[in-house]
Amino acid sequence: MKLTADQARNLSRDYFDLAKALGEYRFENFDTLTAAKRKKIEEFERLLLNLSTSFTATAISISVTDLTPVLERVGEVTKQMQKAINNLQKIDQVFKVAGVAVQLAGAILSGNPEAIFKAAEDSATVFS
Amino acid sequence: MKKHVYAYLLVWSLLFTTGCATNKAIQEFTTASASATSRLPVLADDLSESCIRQNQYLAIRVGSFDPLRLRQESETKCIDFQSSEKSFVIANKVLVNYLQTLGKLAGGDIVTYDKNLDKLVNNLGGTSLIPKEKVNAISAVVSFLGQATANRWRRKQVGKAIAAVNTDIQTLISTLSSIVTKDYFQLLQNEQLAAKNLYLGTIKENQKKEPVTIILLQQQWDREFKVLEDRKKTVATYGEILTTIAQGHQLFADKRTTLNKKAVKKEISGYTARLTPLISDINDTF
Repeated sequence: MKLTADQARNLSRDYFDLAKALGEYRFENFDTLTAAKRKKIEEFERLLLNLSTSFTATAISISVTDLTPVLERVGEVTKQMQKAINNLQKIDQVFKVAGVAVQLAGAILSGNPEAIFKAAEDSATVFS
Repeated sequence: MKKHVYAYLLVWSLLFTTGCATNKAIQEFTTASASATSRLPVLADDLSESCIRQNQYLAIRVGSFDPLRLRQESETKCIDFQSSEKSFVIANKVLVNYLQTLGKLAGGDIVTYDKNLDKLVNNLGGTSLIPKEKVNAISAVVSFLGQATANRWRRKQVGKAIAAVNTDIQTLISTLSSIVTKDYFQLLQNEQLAAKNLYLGTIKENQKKEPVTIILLQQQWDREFKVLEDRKKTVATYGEILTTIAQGHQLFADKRTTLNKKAVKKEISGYTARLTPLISDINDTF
């Protein structure tokens, strides 16, 4: 049976609580416990704390592994949005082209050679 | 006819103004969110570092004092965290990219008609065939139509993206949040306990023999304890940040068809306002 991230988290917390409780007992009874007993308790504390950290590592590892399909889907939508942004930039270009065309038409209608020349020059810039 | 044109222009201008403002609200929210989460990789680096520090405390307690060897051995024991850190950073990058792209798509700075049309009006205006006032009216209609069309299209794309990805974004944020607020927090707790075992154990065993050393040791322990307490506070702040981003995105999803409404804009801005002070809080610690 495989652990879930939350189960690993609960185990991590439980082992931490045990290590903490043992430590509190050891320090509260420091003067009454023999050095050998203190050492033995401290070894247990160390072991429990290491296990707590190992379960945390497991919880993180399971969490990030479970995220893989989620990340793929979010990445795909981000790509689609980027495409939409590119399309918006194309729309911008369409409006620029349309704007210059109207400008050129206006210049031609005005019959002003200077305006026609200027508009034609702008058109060339947009289309280039 | 003239009145009809002005009324038409007024309607379009109102539509355009509302649409733009809402897009700006989304953009501000996504910019703040991306900024808030862009520093998460710095915190991620501390996952393995916290594990290493914890191992060092435990090893020193049993008499291992060679700093280089201590570091190497601890790194080996914490190797699992290093690979998870990379995955965490990638997951965060996916979120930041998504938020930035969403903001860009929602924002009003992609399509720029104004300068172009100003130029158009300047060049067209005052000719004998096309009177100035007519040129202005035509240009304005073209401008509003263009902007409104692009904005409607943009809003549609934004709504579509949000609807498609909201569940995944909620899962992604919830996972990042659990790693930060539960797992990293647990590591900090373990580190604090390992530090306590080293410092308090050493103090208790030596307080009668080395009183001055014990005072210095106590001060060092206090400093390290404070650093870890500050990090735990930052963890809580990140938790708030990620919850706010998730709630803001949920609002986008729930109100995706009415994102141009003033009330929705106000709600979005409320989430942005909640994020801003939290960002400066985390910048002080990491």
